[in-house]
Amino acid sequence: MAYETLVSAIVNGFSYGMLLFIFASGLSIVFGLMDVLNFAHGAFFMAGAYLVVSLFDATNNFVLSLIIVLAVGFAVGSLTELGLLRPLYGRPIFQILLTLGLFFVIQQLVLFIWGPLGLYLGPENIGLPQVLNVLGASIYLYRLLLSAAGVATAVVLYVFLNRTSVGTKVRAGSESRELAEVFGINIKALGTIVFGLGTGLAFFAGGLAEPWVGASTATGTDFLLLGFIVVVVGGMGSFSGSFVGAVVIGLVHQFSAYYVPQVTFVTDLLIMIIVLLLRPSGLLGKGKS
Amino acid sequence: MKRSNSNRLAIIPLTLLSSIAIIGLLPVGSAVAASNTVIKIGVVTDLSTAYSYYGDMEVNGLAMGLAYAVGATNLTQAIQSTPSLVTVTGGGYTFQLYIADGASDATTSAAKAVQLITQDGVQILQGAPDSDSAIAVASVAAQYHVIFMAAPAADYDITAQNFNVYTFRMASNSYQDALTGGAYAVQNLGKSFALIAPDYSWGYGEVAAWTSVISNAGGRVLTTQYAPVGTTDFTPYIDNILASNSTVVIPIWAGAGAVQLYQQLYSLGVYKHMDVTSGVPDLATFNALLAAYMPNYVGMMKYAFNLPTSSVNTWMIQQYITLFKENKLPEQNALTFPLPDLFMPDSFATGQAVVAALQATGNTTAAPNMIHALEGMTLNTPKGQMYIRPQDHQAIQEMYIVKVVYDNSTMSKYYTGPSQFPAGSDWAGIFKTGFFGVQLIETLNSTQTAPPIDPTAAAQQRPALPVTTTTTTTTAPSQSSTTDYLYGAVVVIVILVVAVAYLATRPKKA
Repeated sequence: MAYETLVSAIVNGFSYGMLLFIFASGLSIVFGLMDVLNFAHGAFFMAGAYLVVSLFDATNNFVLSLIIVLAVGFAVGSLTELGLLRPLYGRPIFQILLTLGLFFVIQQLVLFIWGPLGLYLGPENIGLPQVLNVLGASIYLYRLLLSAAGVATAVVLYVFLNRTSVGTKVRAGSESRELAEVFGINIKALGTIVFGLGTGLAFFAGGLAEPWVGASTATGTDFLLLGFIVVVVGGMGSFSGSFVGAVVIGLVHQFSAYYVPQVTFVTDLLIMIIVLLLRPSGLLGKGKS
Repeated sequence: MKRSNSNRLAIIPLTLLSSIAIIGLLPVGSAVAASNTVIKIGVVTDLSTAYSYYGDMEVNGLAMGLAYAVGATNLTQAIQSTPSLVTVTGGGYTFQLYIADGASDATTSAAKAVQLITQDGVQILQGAPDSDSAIAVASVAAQYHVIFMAAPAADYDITAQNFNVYTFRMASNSYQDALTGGAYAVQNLGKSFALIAPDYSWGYGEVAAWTSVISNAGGRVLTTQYAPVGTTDFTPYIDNILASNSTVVIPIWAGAGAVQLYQQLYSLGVYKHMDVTSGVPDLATFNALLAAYMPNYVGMMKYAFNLPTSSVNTWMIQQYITLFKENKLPEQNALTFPLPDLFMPDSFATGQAVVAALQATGNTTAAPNMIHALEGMTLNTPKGQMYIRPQDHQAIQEMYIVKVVYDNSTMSKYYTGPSQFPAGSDWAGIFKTGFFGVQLIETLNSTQTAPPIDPTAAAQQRPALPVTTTTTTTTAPSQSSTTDYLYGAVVVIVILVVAVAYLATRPKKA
């Protein structure tokens, strides 16, 4: 097997992993603090992908479009928490039904606004057509920038969770809601912020993914599945776990696309099943089961 | 000439299909020879998805071909259209074309075909832009004993493995494409080949055809890459092609995903190392999206306005322009090209074949009579003489090898200026900028490009003449799509596993 192909699979795999991380970290943070398994996360991703195309058409500036997408995602998430999720805390089955329903509502809304055709802005159309030679392999500059964006997001989230007072409160709330409330933390307001952040990350990931995978109603389901696989492999609710899980799944996904393309999704599922059998709490989860 | 400042494109979204079961009672056939014979044709097309531009050509070509065959001269009068009904009048005939949107979905298309027969009472079916839908409509036609004229769907299997005696195809199929392009590539471009095709039946059929043509001509296929339908990232497959050190790459891709494929072939430097050749697509898509990524392209082509030399083609071009100027083509929108595009002659010839068959049967549309009339028919079409082979009902026809060239003189031969275009046309700038057209390198005649005859098709029993019964009762079998069910099952399994994992690991905090 050719050496360049191997390099290409590794670099593209890491880049895909970073994309998955940005997406799955939102899922993970929301689960950690709020115990909400958010099925609408994939639909938020899809909406972000469509939105970035419309914004790019209007502004002709991809970075600005991404920032707006992130902000819109935060607003949508906060409002969803305030209006829909807040009455349902402590009732996990109802939350699953609500977020799953929300997934289909958003999907229909996207179909209504943007129509049944998918959209695609290649790297060629956002002014980044460059392909670099990395150790003999041809790699899109956009994918390298995407990797950098993923690492930067990880650092920012790490600093936010560990070095800011809001982050400390989020971690305290994730450990124990009651204890955090006893110490005067407004856990409800925190929930609004965290759900907004999680949703913002889903929108942001959708926007970043657009020049790679396009915007179509199928991407919502695909990424929801991949996101779940990442958090299960990494350990549910574990921030560092979702980073490790994302890199593992990103590499596995791309390697099978290069070498055995017929079984791409199957290999992702196999990894998840193996991890569930051997370490049910995930690679970095706090073994509670 | 781009449609918008960012030339984005359409991806056909995956949808989960459900099965349908149809039971119907219907009348078939009519036999009245009066001064004005009304014939109802059901057109299953695509008005709403990625293939809708092909659907436009399908309807426009059919209406114009019918008008030509009945001797109409003033087409702005002879063709009248509303969104769901196109009427063509002339020579003692009134054709009512019932336009149904099958949305390039096999289940929807089959359901629409049944509706057209049972509710609208159409006597002939015509369709469709995508091959899966055409196969679905063909099986409905067989169930209800109605003649089905396939175009522009190109899957070889429609007139081979999936052949039924009610189906006729004037459009060229993918095997004819391969015979045209494959032999040329081996003789002129190189001996070692890499193929990339979509991972489903149409892709396998195409690959089988190209592979056999290439090896018969003395070439060798070093690698075949199958990518899933809906792929937007072709990097892994392209890297594997580059690693194979082939000299020629043949991309086999239909629909809008082709744009990503060609963009990435271009960006990843494939053109620097290898020759890329395949079919040249319709001029509208080519100019709007693809031309920049297909430099100095040489390949096979089914049709462009300047390729055939027939007088019927000249007639079609003149009348098309007249209709285009007045915005009177049945399906006309901003994307509609100012000259007849790729699939126009397929449907045009279909209209001619229908009229010739009716004249031969004394205007009965009963299937046995129509089959008898159409088998072995020879017609002078825009693409020269076509012959409908009685064994598999495929029309054999001339095909072309072309080179992409920049053309800034043709438009002013046919139009005085952009003011003659209907308001809102995407092509108003074409007089200033010119467009990418094609130059003929070689015409291959209908025998050179005749695909093999499937022995099972040739052996199928034809219904006997004469027919006296006019009513048949049929029960259609239910249909399902295995891949969609599998996909649905995977979704459900993952949701269940995650839900169980969630409930198992959920810490008790409350």
